[in-house]
Amino acid sequence: MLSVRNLEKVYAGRQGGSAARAVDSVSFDVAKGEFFTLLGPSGCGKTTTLQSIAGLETPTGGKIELGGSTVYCSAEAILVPANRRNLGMVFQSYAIWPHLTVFDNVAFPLVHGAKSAPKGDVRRRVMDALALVKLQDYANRPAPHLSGGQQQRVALARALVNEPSLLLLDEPLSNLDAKLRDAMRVEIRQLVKSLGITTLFVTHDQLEAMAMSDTIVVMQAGRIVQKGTPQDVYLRPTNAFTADFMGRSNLVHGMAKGDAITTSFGVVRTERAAIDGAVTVVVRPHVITASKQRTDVVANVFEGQLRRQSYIGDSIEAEVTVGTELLRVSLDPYQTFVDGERLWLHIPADRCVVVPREAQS
Amino acid sequence: MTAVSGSRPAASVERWDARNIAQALLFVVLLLLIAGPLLILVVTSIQPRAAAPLLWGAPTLEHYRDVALRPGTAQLIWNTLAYAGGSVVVAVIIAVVIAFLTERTDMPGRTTVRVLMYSWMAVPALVFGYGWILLINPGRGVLNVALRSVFGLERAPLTPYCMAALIIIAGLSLVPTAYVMLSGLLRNMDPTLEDAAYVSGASRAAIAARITAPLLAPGILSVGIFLGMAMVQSFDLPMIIGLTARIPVLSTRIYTAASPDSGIPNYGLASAFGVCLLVLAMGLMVLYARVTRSSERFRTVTGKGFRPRRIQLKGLQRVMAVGGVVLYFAIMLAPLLILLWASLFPFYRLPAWSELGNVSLDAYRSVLSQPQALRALGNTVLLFLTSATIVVVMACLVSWFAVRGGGTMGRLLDMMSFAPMAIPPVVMAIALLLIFLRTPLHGTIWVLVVGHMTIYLAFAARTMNAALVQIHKELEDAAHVSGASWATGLRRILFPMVWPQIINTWLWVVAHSARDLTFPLLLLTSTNVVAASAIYLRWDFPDLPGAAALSMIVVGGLMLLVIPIQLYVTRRIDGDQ
Repeated sequence: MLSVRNLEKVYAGRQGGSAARAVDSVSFDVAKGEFFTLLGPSGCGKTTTLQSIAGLETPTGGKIELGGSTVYCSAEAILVPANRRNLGMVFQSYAIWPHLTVFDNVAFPLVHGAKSAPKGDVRRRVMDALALVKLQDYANRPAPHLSGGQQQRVALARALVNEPSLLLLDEPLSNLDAKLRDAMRVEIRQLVKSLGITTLFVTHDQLEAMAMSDTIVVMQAGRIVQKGTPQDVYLRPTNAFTADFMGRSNLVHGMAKGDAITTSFGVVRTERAAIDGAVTVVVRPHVITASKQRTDVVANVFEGQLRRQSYIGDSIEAEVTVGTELLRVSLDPYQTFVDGERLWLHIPADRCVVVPREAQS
Repeated sequence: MTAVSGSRPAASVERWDARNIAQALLFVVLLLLIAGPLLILVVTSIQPRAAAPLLWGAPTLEHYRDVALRPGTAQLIWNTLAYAGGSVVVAVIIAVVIAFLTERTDMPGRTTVRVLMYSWMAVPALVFGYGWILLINPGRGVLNVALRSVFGLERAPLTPYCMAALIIIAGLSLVPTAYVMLSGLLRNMDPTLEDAAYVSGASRAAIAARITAPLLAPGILSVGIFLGMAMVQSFDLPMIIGLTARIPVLSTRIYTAASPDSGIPNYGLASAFGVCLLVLAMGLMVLYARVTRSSERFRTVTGKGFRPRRIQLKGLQRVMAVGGVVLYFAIMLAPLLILLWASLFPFYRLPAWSELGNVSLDAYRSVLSQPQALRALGNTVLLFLTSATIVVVMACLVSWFAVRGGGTMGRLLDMMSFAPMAIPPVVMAIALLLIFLRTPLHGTIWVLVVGHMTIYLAFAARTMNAALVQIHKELEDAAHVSGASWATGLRRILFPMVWPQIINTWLWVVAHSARDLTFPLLLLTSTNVVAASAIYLRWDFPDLPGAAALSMIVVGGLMLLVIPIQLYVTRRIDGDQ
């Protein structure tokens, strides 16, 4: 459905500055009907990639195919402008036109789009689209008189009204408050899945990405660092960046030999030992169990001292010094702990992920 | 499965679409409008005296030598600077006070003040100047006569024909422009900056001195330089007051060289003076750009919608504030009222109750029955409608390329549209005269249109830039992704959203085009008389009632256009916030 090959965007350096590589040979394929997400921190190139696919930004190299036809190719000098790509897009600001009514906003792609609809069809199709987002009663409202959540629904209806081949979502949830965001997450996924529309979603929020996506691509500094299902990228990160970005993690450096990894505070045993040499062990805070007494388990138990704790209801976020390392641990909120207290931490071997150590980390 | 139109080579899709054609066209037009006249001006200034315009002779510096060696040149430059500097100081002081009262206090009648200030652009400086001459001329000036009878003076205490009067009259007529620029500055100041000082325990006076004033200083300075640039280039008041007072400034000196009362026009000398004025204006423009850039660092405008807290005026303060503002408007209205009075009698007489019985509309009747006056009015309407419309269309497109288009071309268009700011109208008028003198276009209204297009583009493009910057880029992106072409996106989405600003800009150009005397006078022939030049000719003739009646017709007509649109736009802009 969508295929991106070696996409590249280099911004020329300004006033003697060196050129910035915003997107660096990015390639991926999106299957028809898939909910596909580009995830990464700001400045990682995800938005530039999305804008290149939309045709709002001209890449400096690579190739983009949409539904079998090339919309951009640097080698063949092809560039189809944004208005001929038959896309639907929801913008971060929603970009609802304030001088038009809800109806006119949604009707715009049908009336002024490259493939305009026959006159008699417009009303029915706009109302259908508004019904999809449950806004059929608001058709004649001026757009500025809507709440943030409603504006976003209008944006969604406008993006869907022309039955686009690809729906692009550019951080559409980031301007909503937390509760509404949770509700819209579910709603958007259900809507596009029921319509069978291929969707490309861009976000910096890993929870959003995991809750909504079929496939996640994690990007860092213009490159793809990992691609996979939500479980893949969360449970089996292949690098320290992904591991850290997908959720709070302890990154412990060590030397691997077989299934034993020697760290500054002792030997950590792991299940898989694919790599020998300098590695980083990724341990999520909530897989570590902490107890006040030494337990029967012998392997992977380390003695530590509670440094700091903050109570957040669902758990206690704590920092425990083990040797020279500071480990983040989730403690049981129903127990009481005292700063400076001695704790025994158990790190389950099957929940440790070992990734090659990166030069800078 | 999709409507994605087949792959097309970028070479054909990109290079000649509507957007690129528009951009190339704008570039060529701007280049012709700006570079063409300036080139002619410089070339003419180094031609020998005998050479006819646009005929090449051996280049010579005789005109520059002439300019440099003339005994009056130093005085001329001093006059220009004193006139511009003095009037700006007068205008900025009055405007800061009034802007502070309307934007930062709860003085009653704020909206009225604002509407009156904005509507002032409907009053030609020419009309304002004539009104003052009627009020304070040493012979029968109304105020002089009144003061003499009250104090028993032998000689008239006031005269318009001196530098001080010229500065004060020009300063007063500049106040509304200064007010418009400064009130925005005061209105958009982030109130939290003052709140922070207040919470820290500072007194109101300390806040004003230590926080508000330093924050506003760079903005006021850049407004001052901007206005100085405009005054250095101004022509109308120095022409009607300064020439009689024998206070020549650069702009009027250019006129007297190009259209002397006797003898043949010396275009070479006029061009050399023109180059001098151009250099002076450009120097001010560079200074303006610098100050503006450094004041960006002091930016108090954050773009967020907020209203600074208003100071509550108490008792005497309130009376003084209202009294001061009323006095100011009385001073502004007096010259218009005396012109109205003069237009109601076949021969001028001093205002008195006993004369009211003799009021007649004969002057209006006579003006409106003369074909020359009717043609002047018709020409004026044609002039301001075409030039305002063309300017606004060009400004919208130039601003789009400057704000959204990006790239070298965008920056270049932006610079080119701003350049006319430093080209004095009188210089442009001389250049146009030289270019079109031998063409059939000479003596037509279209040469005036070309001049006004160029001169007013700078302001219009600035205004539209400011408006477009406010519009989130995604609003336009959304239109393109929805399938709209570049032109459709502009027509259906972008421009409708900045409609109030477009109307406002159009109105500004209409008013300025209708009141301008520079181009009509320098390019004057029997066929291209417009209202401003017709008033000037009648006054000079002299036909005082006729000039006064025509002035009233112009001011009244412009007011009828300006005030309703101003009210509509103010409401639209306020409604959006």
